[in-house]
Amino acid sequence: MAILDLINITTVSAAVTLIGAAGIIVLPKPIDKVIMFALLQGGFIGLIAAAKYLDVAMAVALFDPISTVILLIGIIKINEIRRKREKAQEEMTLA
Amino acid sequence: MNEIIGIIIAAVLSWLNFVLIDTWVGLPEKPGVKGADVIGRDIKKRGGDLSGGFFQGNIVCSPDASAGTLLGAIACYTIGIPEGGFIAALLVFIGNRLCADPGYAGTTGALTIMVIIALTSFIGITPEEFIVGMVFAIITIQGLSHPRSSRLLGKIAKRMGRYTDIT
Amino acid sequence: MMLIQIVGILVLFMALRTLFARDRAERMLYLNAMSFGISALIALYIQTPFGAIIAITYFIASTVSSNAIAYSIGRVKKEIIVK
Repeated sequence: MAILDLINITTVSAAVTLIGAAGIIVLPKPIDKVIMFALLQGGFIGLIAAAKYLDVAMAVALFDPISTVILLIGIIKINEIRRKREKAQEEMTLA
Repeated sequence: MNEIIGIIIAAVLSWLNFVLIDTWVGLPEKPGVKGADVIGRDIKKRGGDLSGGFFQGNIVCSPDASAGTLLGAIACYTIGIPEGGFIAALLVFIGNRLCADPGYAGTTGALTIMVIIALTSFIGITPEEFIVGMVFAIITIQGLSHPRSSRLLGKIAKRMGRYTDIT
Repeated sequence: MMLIQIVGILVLFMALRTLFARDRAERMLYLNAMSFGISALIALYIQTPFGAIIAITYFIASTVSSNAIAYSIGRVKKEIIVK
């Protein structure tokens, strides 16, 4: 079948990257966006490996999870700050 | 040997390899890291078994025998049959210590799958079929229906005496 | 069918299921299954030992980042979304 000939590593990785990007745009909550970002990283490394840039793929595989961890630390921090501000506002309106 | 039959046999062998080694090491008993606890309780909330949920959470959050099986098959395919297994076992060991996991499930899985690949190479099953078979095996556990597969894993854990005491 | 095509179809199936999943922990499980598939694809395409090293590095790094995401799912109980 003709459509099965289209399935090689380049097209699969490109499709996974596009699905990840669509997920980042569509999903509302921040942690869901980070999960879709990890999906995008997987597709991205597949694309780089398909183009045979192997040393770039090694560097990306080592550094992308570091950026995920930094994003997650940021989300946890912002959430705590917003919750503290909400609680302070509630106490002010009660008092 | 026909490729499809080879993939099916390799999938069954790698499923048995990682499920039995993980259950024997004690993965369904308690969550190794906090992330596994979150995933396990969420699977229980959706109608699954808590022990199977801890098993699946431990697969996600830490390199265990499933990672050892896949990486052992990859290394045996590209590097060669005895050397690849040892290299994969060493790298999975480093990965385990990076995730602060004190167990030996990954290295055991890599070494046993190296032995299995070496034995089945006499029948005609190549290491590539083991790679594809392992992807099939992990999709049957984590890709189809989580409550149903967690109940199956819980039954296996109960049979081997590794059921969890946490509720 | 060649082996890369079989694994490619499975990877696409898992990626679509992570987009359309209803629950956050469910997404983590599908994401992990997809990482298995991407590692297998890299190893099957680049058939040299360095390809195996890249596949192993990618897989362990993706496990570490999944661990971090699962930890913060447990840490952030109720997220506050700014409109």
